[in-house]
Amino acid sequence: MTKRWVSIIELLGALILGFTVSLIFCAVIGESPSLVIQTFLGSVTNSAYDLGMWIYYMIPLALAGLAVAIPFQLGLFNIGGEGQLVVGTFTCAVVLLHWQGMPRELGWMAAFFAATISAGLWGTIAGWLKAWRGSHEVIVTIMLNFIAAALTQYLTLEFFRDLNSQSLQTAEVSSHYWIHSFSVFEQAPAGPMVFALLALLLLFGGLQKFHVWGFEMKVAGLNPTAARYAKIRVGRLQVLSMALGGACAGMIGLVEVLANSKKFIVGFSPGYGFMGIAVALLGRGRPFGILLSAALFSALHYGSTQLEFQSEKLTQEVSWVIQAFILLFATARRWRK
Amino acid sequence: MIDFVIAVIGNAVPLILASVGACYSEKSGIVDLGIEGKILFGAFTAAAVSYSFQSPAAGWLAATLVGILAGLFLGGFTLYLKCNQVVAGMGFNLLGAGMTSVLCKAVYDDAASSPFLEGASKLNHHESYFWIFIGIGVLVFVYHFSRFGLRIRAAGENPEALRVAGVNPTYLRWKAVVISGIASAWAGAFLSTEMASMFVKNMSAGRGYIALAATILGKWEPTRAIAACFFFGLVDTIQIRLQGAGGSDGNQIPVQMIQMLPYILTIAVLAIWVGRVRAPKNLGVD
Repeated sequence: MTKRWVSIIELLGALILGFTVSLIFCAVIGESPSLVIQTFLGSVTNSAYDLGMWIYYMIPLALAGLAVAIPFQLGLFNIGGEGQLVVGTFTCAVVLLHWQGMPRELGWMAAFFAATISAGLWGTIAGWLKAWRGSHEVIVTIMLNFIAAALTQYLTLEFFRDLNSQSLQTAEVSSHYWIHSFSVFEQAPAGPMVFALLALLLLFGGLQKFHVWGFEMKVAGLNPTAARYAKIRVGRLQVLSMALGGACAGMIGLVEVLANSKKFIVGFSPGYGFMGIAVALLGRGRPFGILLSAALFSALHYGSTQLEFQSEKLTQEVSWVIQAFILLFATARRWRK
Repeated sequence: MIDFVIAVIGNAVPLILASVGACYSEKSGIVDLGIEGKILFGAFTAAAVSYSFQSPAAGWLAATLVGILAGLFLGGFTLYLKCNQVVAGMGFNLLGAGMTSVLCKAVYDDAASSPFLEGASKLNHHESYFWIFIGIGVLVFVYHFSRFGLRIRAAGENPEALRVAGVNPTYLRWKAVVISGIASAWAGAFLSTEMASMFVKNMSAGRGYIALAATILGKWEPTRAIAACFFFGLVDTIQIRLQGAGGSDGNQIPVQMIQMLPYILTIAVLAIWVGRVRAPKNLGVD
């Protein structure tokens, strides 16, 4: 049996195990597992709107997965996707609010650069501290998450708050920037960005497989000492990978500001950055794997919001329980050669 | 002034418990990123059991048991199933946040918090601080002055030496993660039964990560980690005071800036103290 098949069987095993344990937990609480399964399956197939929401959530989750997967090639853990995406979304919204009158294509480009550069720089802080001072990236990115949340909250509150709204958010960006969703999905925000995501995943796969960066990252991840001996600049790669990872997380801002809520809302992310860890690890850092696991976690996330309406006892946090068990079982290495 | 000092100690105690526990786990070679989850499990259990039995002692005992279970769970995934330790910790945090929220809703039909603890279900202030400080003292003493503490430290630095001496480092690591589980669960119990008098969804609010940062800033030495925790407790108290004072005045420092302070300082110290802050050699290796 080839290595790839062993890996796929392992992952399927982890999925089944994770779901089983989670369903046992639901049963212990007093909710029938069959209702949970039905709601999860039904929530993505009931209507075209549900299908659209399922596809929509795949976009931020796959982007968050990329944000983890790119630095992980080097063995760096980017726990900071959450902070990076908050910074990217905030900057994107502010830039579009400031320049209301640009032609839409120019506006999109400005939004793209605002989101990716700001979030990329936010990620670079951790990568640079790792390369230059050896500070552990896990702790630094966690701290940066808190800083990003507090900083954007402060700036929104002081300078960009939409005073007509009860919640803490900016105003909507001008409507000619909006990217409209496909009409088949009945208002669900899934639009042409799905294709952009596929293109990005292909680009990532291509770079990983055919470009010298992908090779250098693989070598540096497997053995940094050997990489340095081969004149691969490991420190520079660390900074670069964190910057690219941050930029991917920042692109969630584009989806949020142009297609979903059309503004920056403080605390809008339901934890995309953390779900991205599970997406990347379950997808084994490959583009197709990331897409598949984003689809799975998107269904879990959207299904759990539906479950809250259907079930008397469960809340949508049950999806965290399922994700956690899948993540834990999927990374177990005891039986791996 | 006395009020302020007491508030600082109150805010520092959960951090101290968790970060002294983290010293054990990290020094033995296991990355202790799951503190947040352990705190939440401990907090929920202590609040729920104290409420049902109308007995704080039962609540703390149950939190201890849950802490042991959490330690064994994490040990099972890191030491037995050989998960990546960072992933196991993050996964456990997700599990803790999810399970306690779901349980809170399922048990009390209230998604936000558990019932308020009062009267017989609440420990006397002096008593609880007394027992907690004894607990912290024992943890620090054992770490520094016992053969067990010495071996824990060796397990993270040079497990081979332990093996040569006829001691099984894996077995020591199991003990260390269980100790850390108990300490973090106590931190949670203190949060829910002492400080808030109830369990609130996600009440750990990043304290687990701050405790881990304190451990690292303290160079993995409990006494220094405690000092770092007092500093974080001080910042936390100032921030709460400012919030109470209504910080939207133009002259005052915005609350969010004070909130950011501990995190920025952690990064700054990590960036500046390089070379002097050295992790245990075998931390997170296998």
